[in-house]
Amino acid sequence: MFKKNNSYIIFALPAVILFFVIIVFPTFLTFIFSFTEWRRFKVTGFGTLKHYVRMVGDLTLGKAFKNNFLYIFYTIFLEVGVGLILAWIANRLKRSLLYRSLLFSPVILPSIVVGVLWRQIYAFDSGLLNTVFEFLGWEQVGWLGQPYTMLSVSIVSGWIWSGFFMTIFYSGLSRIPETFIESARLDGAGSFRIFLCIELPLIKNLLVLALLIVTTGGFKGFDLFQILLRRDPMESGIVLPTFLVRTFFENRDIGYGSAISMVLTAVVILIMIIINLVNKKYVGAVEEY
Amino acid sequence: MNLKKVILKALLILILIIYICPIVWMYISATRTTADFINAPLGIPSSISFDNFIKAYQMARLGQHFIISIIITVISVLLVVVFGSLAAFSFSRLKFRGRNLLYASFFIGLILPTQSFLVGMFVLFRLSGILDTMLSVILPCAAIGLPIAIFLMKAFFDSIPSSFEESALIEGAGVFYIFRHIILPIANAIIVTVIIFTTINVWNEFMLPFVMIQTDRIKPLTTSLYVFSTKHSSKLTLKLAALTVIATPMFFVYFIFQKQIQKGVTAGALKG
Repeated sequence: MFKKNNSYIIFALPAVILFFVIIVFPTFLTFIFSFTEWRRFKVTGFGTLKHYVRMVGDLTLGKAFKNNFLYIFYTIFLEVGVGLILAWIANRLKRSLLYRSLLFSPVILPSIVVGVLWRQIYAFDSGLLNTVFEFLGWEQVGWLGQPYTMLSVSIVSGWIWSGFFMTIFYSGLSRIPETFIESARLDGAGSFRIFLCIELPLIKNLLVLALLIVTTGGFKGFDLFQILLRRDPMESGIVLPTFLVRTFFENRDIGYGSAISMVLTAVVILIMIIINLVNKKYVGAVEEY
Repeated sequence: MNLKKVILKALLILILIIYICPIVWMYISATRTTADFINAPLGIPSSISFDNFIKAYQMARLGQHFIISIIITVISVLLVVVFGSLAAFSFSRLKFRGRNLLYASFFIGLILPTQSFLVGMFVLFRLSGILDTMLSVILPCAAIGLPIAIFLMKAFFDSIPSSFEESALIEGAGVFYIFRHIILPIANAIIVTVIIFTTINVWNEFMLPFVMIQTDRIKPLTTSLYVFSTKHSSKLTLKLAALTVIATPMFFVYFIFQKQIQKGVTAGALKG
């Protein structure tokens, strides 16, 4: 179409410059910082591994990792699992648009609204949940303390994101031709059997995608933890992103903060690679229908 | 068969009620006095008053922070749409050296979490003096929004047959003219999608302003509400009223544009 002309690069340049200056270069900087010794904002030495060595014995970091995995474990059920069930129900009922849009609506709420609201719902005194529990004659629960911290945060995540995953799964389920389901039914398959043997395999790409979003997203979540748990003096709900912000922005520990940041990055990329490899090897190519 | 559908419908309605309970509770509680609320968090309000909304609006200076949020969002979205569409057009239509490499480099942006460059960016902003200004949120918001916007728009531009611009080219139109008057008008739908999900993402952004902006005056709604809710943690119903002031316009926007929003947010989040 257009002849090759190197000056055309000018069209791409604004985006490229913004992207490199704000994302690529600072990522590189953070990598360098993680091998640098700092006193507040002053560099005092290069080529140190001490930040990475320090991680090995850091109990709080260990707790953050454990909490992160726990959070991912819970949200796989509360976001993806619930989303799948909702999508299945919605797909069985032909007129479900209103339900679907209502279930999706928490996704558009700012996390600050969700966080402060749920903090109030979880509050020990005059919280919505404990009031209901009291009414039912059950014992009141410290929802945001141990051992419920991660579960409580995950429930909020589930409340927000299950509608999102429902939307994704619904788009897949609703495209499965009715004839597939009908013929299976004629052969005597029950709804559960149909779901397991026909519907699930046909949307397995969406399932892998959802798994990818939840596992990598679990290492990026910051807002809910910060807003629901605030300072969290016992660190009962600390996760990698909040640990990073605390180390760097509150303790002004640039070197260690950078090292944590690099580990977090490595974990996210590693998960992506693993899921992609497993996906290629066992799930295979998309089956078109 | 039919009984099954009825049961499913009832189940769905039940789930829906559980889902919207928190929101309904938020709206009801927001109209009550804190004393009344503490006595019976689930009770029916003895008298409905709208004082809370006005008080919350004034105390949290919602109007002022609303304007900050608007400024940050509008500029970020403009940057994403203008820079993004130009880049997507060049990747889709123009040939120049390094094109494929530059295009591929945007894939990095889809993979990297914000936390990967947060520390480096903070130090960079501190050195260049834009830390604690609106720019320190606008620039990263725009940069984070760019990659997915470019991918979506390039895919769309690729699907436009080149015969459209051929005739314009023969008549002597310039490259920019073709971009502006032929490609962009056709790509309307995808640009609206990009605008919608970028707007929602930037509007709801919490971590960046939390880290970058310490001056109260220029905090966007999200972090100014955070400060408000920690400062006045005992004024429960006032807090909830402030939340409803923020949430209500979001609900309105959502129910007007829900089709595009669902599509946009889904596409935007798929960058995972």
